[in-house]
Order: sequence, then C-alpha cells, then structure tokens
Amino acid sequence: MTVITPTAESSTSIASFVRKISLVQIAAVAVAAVLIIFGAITNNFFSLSTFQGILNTSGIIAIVAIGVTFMTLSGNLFTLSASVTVLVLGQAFLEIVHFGPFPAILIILLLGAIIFGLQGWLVGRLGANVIIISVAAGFLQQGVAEYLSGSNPSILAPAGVTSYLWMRNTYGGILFSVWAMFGVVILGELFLRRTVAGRQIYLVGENRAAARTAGINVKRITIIAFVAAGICIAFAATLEAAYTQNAYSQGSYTFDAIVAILIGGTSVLGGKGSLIRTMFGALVVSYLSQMMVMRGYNTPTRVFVEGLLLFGVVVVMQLNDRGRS
Amino acid sequence: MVTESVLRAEGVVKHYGPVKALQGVSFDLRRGEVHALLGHNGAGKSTLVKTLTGSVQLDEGQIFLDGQAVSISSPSEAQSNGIAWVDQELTLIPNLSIEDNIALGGMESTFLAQRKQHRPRVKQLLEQIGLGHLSPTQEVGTLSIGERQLLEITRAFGRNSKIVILDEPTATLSDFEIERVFAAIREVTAEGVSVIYVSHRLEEIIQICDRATIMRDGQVVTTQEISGLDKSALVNLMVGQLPEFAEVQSIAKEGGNGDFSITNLSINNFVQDVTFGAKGGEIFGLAGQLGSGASLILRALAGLEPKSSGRVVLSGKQFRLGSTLRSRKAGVYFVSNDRKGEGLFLTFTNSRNLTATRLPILAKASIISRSVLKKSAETLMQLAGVDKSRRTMTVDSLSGGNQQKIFIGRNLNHPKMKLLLLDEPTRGVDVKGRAEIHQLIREASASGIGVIFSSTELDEIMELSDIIGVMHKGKLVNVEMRGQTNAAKVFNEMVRESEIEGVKA
Ligand SMILES: Nc1ncnc2c1ncn2[C@@H]1O[C@H](COP(=O)(O)OP(=O)(O)OP(=O)(O)O)[C@@H](O)[C@H]1O
Ligand SMILES: [Mg+2]
Repeated sequence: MTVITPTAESSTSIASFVRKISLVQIAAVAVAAVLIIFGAITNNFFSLSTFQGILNTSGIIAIVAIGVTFMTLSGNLFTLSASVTVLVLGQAFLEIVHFGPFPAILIILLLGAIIFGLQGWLVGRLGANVIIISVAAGFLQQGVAEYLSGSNPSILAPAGVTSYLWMRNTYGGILFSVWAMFGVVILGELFLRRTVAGRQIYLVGENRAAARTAGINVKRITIIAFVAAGICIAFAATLEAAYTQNAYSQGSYTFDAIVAILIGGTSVLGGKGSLIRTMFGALVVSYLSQMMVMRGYNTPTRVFVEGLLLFGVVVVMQLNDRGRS
Repeated sequence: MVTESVLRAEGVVKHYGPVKALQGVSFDLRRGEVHALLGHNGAGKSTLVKTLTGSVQLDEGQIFLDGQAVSISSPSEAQSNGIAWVDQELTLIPNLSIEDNIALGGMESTFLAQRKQHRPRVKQLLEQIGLGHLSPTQEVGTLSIGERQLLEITRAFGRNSKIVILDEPTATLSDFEIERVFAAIREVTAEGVSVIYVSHRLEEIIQICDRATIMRDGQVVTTQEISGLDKSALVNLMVGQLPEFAEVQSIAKEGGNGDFSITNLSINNFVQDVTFGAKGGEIFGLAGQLGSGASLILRALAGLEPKSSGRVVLSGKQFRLGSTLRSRKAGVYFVSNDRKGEGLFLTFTNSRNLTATRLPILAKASIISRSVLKKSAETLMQLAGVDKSRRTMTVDSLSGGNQQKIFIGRNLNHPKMKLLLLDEPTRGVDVKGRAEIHQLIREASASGIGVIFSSTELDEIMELSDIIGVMHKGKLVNVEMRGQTNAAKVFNEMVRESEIEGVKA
C-alpha cells in the first residue's frame, strides 16, 4: 500500500484509459504490426497473387480447425489426431471415388462422423480424457489404414477417374476448398446460433454442471460436437486428397488447427468463441507461412515460428484470464 | 475510545461503464463496532466493499485508514493492512484441501513442510465455527454450500485482522449456524476488531450490529445507531413501502398436475426413509439446519444424487431417481443453492441465461429465431423484476440479488413443469425482491404445480409454506400444516436441546 498525500491526484484520464486496454488487445495489435511490417519488407508480398496464395492455402486448414472448434466450444479442448484422420479418410476417398464423387464424399463424411462420434461417446458417456482418447483413436486409425493398404503406404489417385477433379479447380482465381471453407463457416455458424443443439454446445462449454442441472443432455451435446468435428475433418480429407491426388503424408493439421483456434481467440475452456474467429486464425497461420515461404525459410523454421506464436498466445491468454478472476 | 474511526471513505465514486454503482459514498467504521451495510439489490454495497478491499479501483474519492490517506490497489495490499473479508460469492478452490484453502492468500506459506505445523490451528478454526467434524485435509469440493460459507468466515477471522468485512455471510446458513458466526463476531469485536456486515436478513442486523449505513442507488441515505430502530423502520429506510400483493387464488384442481408423493427416500446412507407428499397448488417447505438433509432431498429429486433410492410419484407417474434427464422428463425443475457453480452461465448475457432451459420449447423444428429469444427473455426479465435494459449485459455484472432473480426467472413459466424445487430461493435478495419472489412462487403454485422449497431462514419457511416438514440429521422429524405450528416449535425440532446448549456455551 502506498500512503499518498491528500493533494496528489491519483487517477488521471490517461491512466484510466491505459487500465482499460486489455493485454489481449495490446498483444493483438503487436502481432498484427509484426505481421504487416514483415510483409512490407518482403519483396512483392502485398500483391494480389500473394493474397490469392494465402487464401488458397488456408481453405483446408480452416475447415479442419473449424471442425475442432466445435469440440473446443463444448469444453472438450482439441483432438490430437486430426492429421491422422485427414490422411486415413483421404486414402479411403481415393479408394472409393470411382463410385462417383458425391456418393464417395457422403460415405467419407459418414465415416468421419462415426470415428469422432465414437470418441465423443467415450468422452461424454464414460468421462474419458479427450486428449488420451484422441491419441488412442489416432493410433487405431493408422493401424487399420496400414492393415488395409498392406505394404503400400501411399495411395495415388485412381488413373482415369476424372469425375471429381472439379474439387481441385479454382473458381475466380480461388480454389474450390476456399469456397468450401466459406460454406462450412456459414452452415456451421447457423447451426451454432440457430439450433437448439448448437446453442446448447455453448452452454455446456461455459458451465457443464449448470447445463446438467438445467436439464440439458450433456452427453448428447458432447457427442454432437464431436460428430460435427468429424464431419468437417472428413470433408477436409476429401478436399486434401482430391487436391494432392495422393495421400501418403500427414500434414500438420493437428497443430495448425490448434494454432488457428487459439489465435482466433476461442477460449480453451469452452463456451466462448466462434467458427468465424477460427477462420481468421487459419488465415493468420496461412499469412505467416506464405510470408516465410517467400522469405525463403524452410518448413522446420515455419513450424518453429508458429510454435513461438502459439506460445505467446497461450501466455497472453493465461495472464488475461488470471487478471479477470 | 469507542468513537475512534479505523476506516473512513470519503466521496467514493465508481462507475461501470454507464452504471453508476457508487456516487459519492462516505462511510466510517469505528474501532470494535459491528457496522451494518444495508440497501436494496444493486444499491452498491458489494461495490463499496470491493473498493475497500482493493478488488476494484475507485474512480474518485479517498480512503483513510487510522486517519491516514491511503490508496488500496490490490486485495493483498488490503490484507497486509489488516483488512480481511468474505466475498458475497464463494471464492474457495474446490479441488484444494481445507487447510490449503485457509492458507491460500494468507500470510503463511503453503509449503508442504509447514502444513503439519498449521494443522492444529486449522483444527481450532474449524472447531470454533462448528465445523469440528471436518478434517483439514478434506477437499473443499466435498463440502456443502453452507459448510463452505462457514469455512470462508472462519478463514477471514483467522487472519488476525483489524477489520473484517462480511458480504452476506449468512445467506445459506440457518439460525443455528448463525449463532456460531455471531459468537465469533462478538469474540473479535471484544478485542477491538471492527466488522462490516452486509446482509438482507434484518433480524440479524438488529441482533448483532451497533450502527447501520443504509444505501440506495449508489448513495448513502443515512447512518444510524441500530438501538433506535426496528425491522419496519429499516425496511422503510431501505426500500420505502413494501409492495402489497393480492391474495393468490388457487386454481389447482383436485387430482391436478402437481400432486406428488415420495416414499422411503434414502440418499447417500444419510437421509433415511423420508416419506411425504402434497397436492399440486400446495407449497411444501423443508426446514432444517445445515447438513440436515433438506437440501439433499431436493437434489435427489432433481436427479443430482446418484446414490438415492425410493419411490417418487409425480402427477400419477412414477420416475426413477439418479438422472437429471429423467427428472426433467418427469417435469421437475430445480433452482440450486449454488448459483455460481450449478446455476448461472456467469459470463453469458442475461438473455442467454433466461432462455437456457427453454430452448427446445422456443424452437420450431429445432430452429430458433432471434426475435423469439428476445421476446421470451424480455418477458422473463419483467417477470423476474430485473430492469429490461440489462438484457444484453452479462449476468455477472448484476448484483448478487439480481442474479438470483434471473436464476429464479429461468425456472418459471415452463409449460411442462409439474414440480418446482427451490433450494434457498431468496438467497441474497433484498426485502422487496424477496416479497416479489415469494409472490412468483405462490403464483406458480397456484397454477397447480407442486412446489418444494428449502430455506435456512426460519421466517421464510413460516411465511411461504402451506406445509412444513422439519429435517434433522437425515430424518424427517415432523410434518405439519403451517396453521398448526409456530416458529419456536419448528426451531426446536430443527435443533435439538442439547445442541442449543453447545452454542450458548
Ligand atoms: N462488473 C460489473 N460490470 C457492470 N456493472 C456492475 C459490475 N459489478 C456491479 N455492477 C453494477 O453495480 C451496481 C451495484 O452492484 P453491487 O453488487 O454493489 O450491489 P449490492 O448492493 O451488493 O447488491 P446485492 O444486495 O444484490 O448484492 C449494480 O447496478 C450492478 O449491476
Ligand atoms: Mg452484493
């Protein structure tokens, strides 16, 4: 405690203004400034083609991240096996795409819903830990995929099948996966805001005990959130497979999704945030990697910088949460 | 020395955005006195307390400690200057032990090696407040709300402070435990400690306080000696006239919707073979001291106690206990006494909180329109008596009493409700709001549903119940119509003679 003389004016308007700005706002401005400055000193960075590039690399990441956001909002953190599911379902998609793209997509979405629905059931019904379940589910999926594909880990697009190639085209200079991203955001936000289950996801995430006492079926809502995640991730898998025309390496989707969600500002504890925020988070991730590519950095460096950013975000959020309570 | 002032606030102003919580409040606290802080919900009592304890920063004004101008910029500064307090909302950490919670934020270190040294002191603190049956290593999450409240109080008194501030310390305690709290207060004030006491229970104020400062809309109305005042004078100073309500006409039919019977209800090997029932349109009040099992009965009926058995028939249909979903399907709605933990979605808006339980009702084919939500929320805000302009503000920006009104409002007007359970329905609500909530409960009951409520406040039991059941140590010891019993009798059944001796000693 400071003993002050009665004449000293303690609170000037500047001081009270500074007090009102939150740490998060300062951090957001700082990050934006760094991104813009680095963009500015990178040759040709601020050009139409760069921004097309940023958009085009963000679509699939964003759809995965949006899927995981459903889990986060419901108070169930993240999945640690998004990448595996994208790979495995991508393989499956290429295997069955000769049935025609729409039946194939539907089957893959259904598989995604089942894979994640089961995990949701384990978490919601048996109270299992979501991190452990998702890791275990990842190993299982990988095992099943390896068993089915035999010794051949990489699966190529079936020769001569062209009926699905519209999924990898650009429309107005923008990849189909980006248009798909906008579609997923709109549908997802409508689901979250306008349906009973969607609104209940937020309630369960904010205060599980209160939701239970209020007569909300917490287990059912948990499963629904997981199923929504599974459908999005499965959809991303079909886009990824169609785009790369093969499915043999896991991307960094698991990690990218978590970064996108956190940068977007969705609360790790659940209940607060949105899909739109995650989409912007994914765009920031893309911006970052595009910039690093253009400055000639390699992938490990890129992942390192992403890691730094994530670390910063987590620290700031932690401090901010503590400041509030 | 009696009039020496230890703490003085002058011209304190605090605004939360457009909300003028304090508008130039002056206040002084004398050595060794118990000073009541009274006022309607949202009058600014908790905000004043928070400025004194450094939890919020005042916009204008000055605080003096022992005549010295000071600025208290954080709770730890307040504490190192001898101010301890109990917040209106519970602040204990559920997954820490009792002793760690007591040490937490205190001056003592929490290092493992020192725990053992502190244990006798922790035991003594528990003993003093009547929690001697608890072990210092027990997790706080296993305690009932009332026990937690006592723990917070004894923690505050254990800090050896000059000033202890209690913001509604007794809202979930029965008269029996309150006596213990009073004993603790008398003990410290005799040693020269000063106490600020915020409460809506006016009998308590008259019993324990020396002076009262009455606030209204962020301003001080008056500060007076308690000795010259009685309850109605206090009510008058606080809220003016109490609202008059017309007698509620019961429209319940014989064999109506809310008839219920509970047979051989047993919970957690504690509540044993409890049997009672009532007709729809009757209000059943469960009285009992802390830990009597009254709360447990409500929780079990709501499906929140997995280890419960017994036959429950509601509106002619039997349902199994142990699942909140089954209870809800049967038409049971529950207002918990744990508003913060099990009730509100604190950082969501009032509107979202009010509609949280009725989303399926408001939806058409699972789709919800924004205008329907808004209309429903507005109707409920009006019903609950909270200003409509607060609809889009978060519920934690409301004063404690108004939060309670939102919580009650959420559980009103459900077309499928057959049994309404309320645990401590007017916790922290001012006299006027209390009368309004009682009226809401009477109206709900008059529509023919069953109502069971539990209250630690004997007055509330006597005022609101048609039938009174008294719980003691897990047993239902008596059930009587209100007309056939009186407060003294109920109190005696709640608290057995031997125990009363214990308190007075
Ligand atoms: N964090 C906040 N943001 C906005 N408004 C707030 C906040 N905290 C309190 N208020 C407002 O300040 C006013 C005073 O609230 P306060 O909690 O001090 O009332 P109170 O006298 O303690 O009431 P109660 O008896 O219900 O506890 C109320 O209008 C309340 O809504
Ligand atoms: Mg208050």
